[in-house]
Amino acid sequence: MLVSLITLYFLDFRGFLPQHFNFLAEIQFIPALLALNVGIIVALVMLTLIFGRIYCSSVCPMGIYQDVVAWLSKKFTKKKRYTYSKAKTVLRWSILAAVVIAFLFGFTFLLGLLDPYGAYGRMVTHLFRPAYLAGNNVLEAIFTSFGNYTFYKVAIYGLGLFSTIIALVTLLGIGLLAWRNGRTYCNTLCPVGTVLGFLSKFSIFKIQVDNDNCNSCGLCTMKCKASCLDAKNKKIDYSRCVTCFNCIESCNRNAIKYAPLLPRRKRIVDPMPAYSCDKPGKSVDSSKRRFLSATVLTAIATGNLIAQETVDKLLSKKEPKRQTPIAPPGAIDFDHLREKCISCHLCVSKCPSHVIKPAFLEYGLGGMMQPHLYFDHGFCNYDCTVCGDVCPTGALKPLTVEEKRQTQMGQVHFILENCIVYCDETSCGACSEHCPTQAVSMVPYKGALTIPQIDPSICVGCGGCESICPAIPYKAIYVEGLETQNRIEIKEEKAEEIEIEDFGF
Amino acid sequence: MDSDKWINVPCLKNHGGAQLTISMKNYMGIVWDRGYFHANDLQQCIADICTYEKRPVLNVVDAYRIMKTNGPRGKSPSDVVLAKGLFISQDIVAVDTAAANFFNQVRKIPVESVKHIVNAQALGLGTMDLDSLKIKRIKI
Repeated sequence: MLVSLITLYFLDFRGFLPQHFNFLAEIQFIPALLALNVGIIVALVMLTLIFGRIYCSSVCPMGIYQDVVAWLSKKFTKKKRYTYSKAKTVLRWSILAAVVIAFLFGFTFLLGLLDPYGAYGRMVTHLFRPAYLAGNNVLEAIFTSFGNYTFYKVAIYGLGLFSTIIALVTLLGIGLLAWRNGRTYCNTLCPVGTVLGFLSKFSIFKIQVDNDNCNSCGLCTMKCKASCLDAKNKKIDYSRCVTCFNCIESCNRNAIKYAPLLPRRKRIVDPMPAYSCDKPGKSVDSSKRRFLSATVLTAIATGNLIAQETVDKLLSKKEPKRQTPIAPPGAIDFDHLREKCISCHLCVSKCPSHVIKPAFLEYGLGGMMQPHLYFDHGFCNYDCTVCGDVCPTGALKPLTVEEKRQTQMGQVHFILENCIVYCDETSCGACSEHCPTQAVSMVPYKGALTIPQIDPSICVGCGGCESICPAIPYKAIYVEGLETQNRIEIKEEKAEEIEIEDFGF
Repeated sequence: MDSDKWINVPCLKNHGGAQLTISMKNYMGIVWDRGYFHANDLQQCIADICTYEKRPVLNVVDAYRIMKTNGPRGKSPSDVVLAKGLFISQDIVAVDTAAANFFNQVRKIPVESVKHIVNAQALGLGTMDLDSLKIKRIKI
């Protein structure tokens, strides 16, 4: 099943699944839309126009998640019936409108928040994946104690509280809705559901009630996860039907079927009222909440600042504070990232060097949960292009290795006061050891010592220097991000022709 | 670590921090917390780690293609010189001194500035005085 594959693709850290399985993300509706992948968009639209919302029951991972939760709920609760309910037309079109308007203003964050694939990706990245890695580590401990080295230990890193909370809220929120009433999310919040729902009104294949055999017993309605089956009036709301076929399985009079309904014939089902884009709903009044959180944050920040200044005075060292975040290679510029990224966190999961992390406010409010680089656990490998290769929306453009090596995501900054060579007058050079372009090179200092010298113009911003700098408590070298990623040229140096004839000793 | 005997096979390279990386610097391969070494007098730490009780039976310095500049990472083929040398010794200090002298034909880095070699001699790990040793020089 596609969902298991998508989930496994996010979880897979050993590369069992080939990298090009990222197509599982590329065939999702919103990523295809953002990537302007016309082929996929046309295919999905045609699929819906022919078969109805089959996407929602087979391709969309959030759909299957809800089905699993709903199935569990029916096993563990007494209440085993669904009921018919009216469509929440105003709600779902308002939400779609809000999402579209925010997107047109360049804020894809709202779309990313509600997109089922993006939300599912975050759930897997922040909740399932740590559990999967922990499970691996347990197995490693067991197998290794028997001398079997099939498994190796992996590190499990925290990826930011905000995104984890969002993932948890999503898991529990949508889970609760699914537990109680099946596919509520799909027919209220989900923008994909609203759009495909509109299209599936015109689908050729439809679930149809056979008026002659049907006695309105309501068995089908009790099984309808989307609450779209009105057994009394023998009508189905096609904008909400996710073609799960529970109804067909439940009918013991063969009075319901899934068959093509060609336009000329008399329609059996009553068409739902015409859709209209109502005014966007009132946004939640959060001014009080904002005031309170601002006060608390200011208090904490002030306390921290005072403590920091005290420490700084004692040490006469400067804390390197990154002012501009570093976007992953291929992001082109912050605007491009903000406009295209749905923060599905596939890049976060797949980065082999563990340098991508979801942002909180580093990009501002418009870029919450979008990826940025951090060098606590590694640096961006000079030869690696995985993030751009897997990104399904094109927010991170796929680059060749040569293009990646010429992409400047940030520039190096050196803090002399923190450097071990300057403070302790002993040799180091760790930063230059890691620099792939030698933007950081060692030049003669005092006596036999060498000290770092930087050339930011050829720095790619990989963070090799920053990640390895052993100076404590503050690093002496770090990378400042760039709002627009540049292309650098490295001058080719001619190799000297040197012949050695003697031993030299 | 668990073997009965081991042989040290480094490459001769320029090094931004330690000036040259040869047999002694090759011990970094068994150091877990290399950041600590870099932060606490790298040149002395290199000499210290070479006092580890299980010494190599042989040090074989690969100087066939050496890195002249921008070491140890290097940034382009122009950093490399085809030197076609090979040095073998049981005395780690001596072989590093010899390799350093060999290197100086390509780029001047006085062996006295490669402090870890000097420190190692002070620790009694070997001798830098090549004239006092019996050396076989072979040209192929």
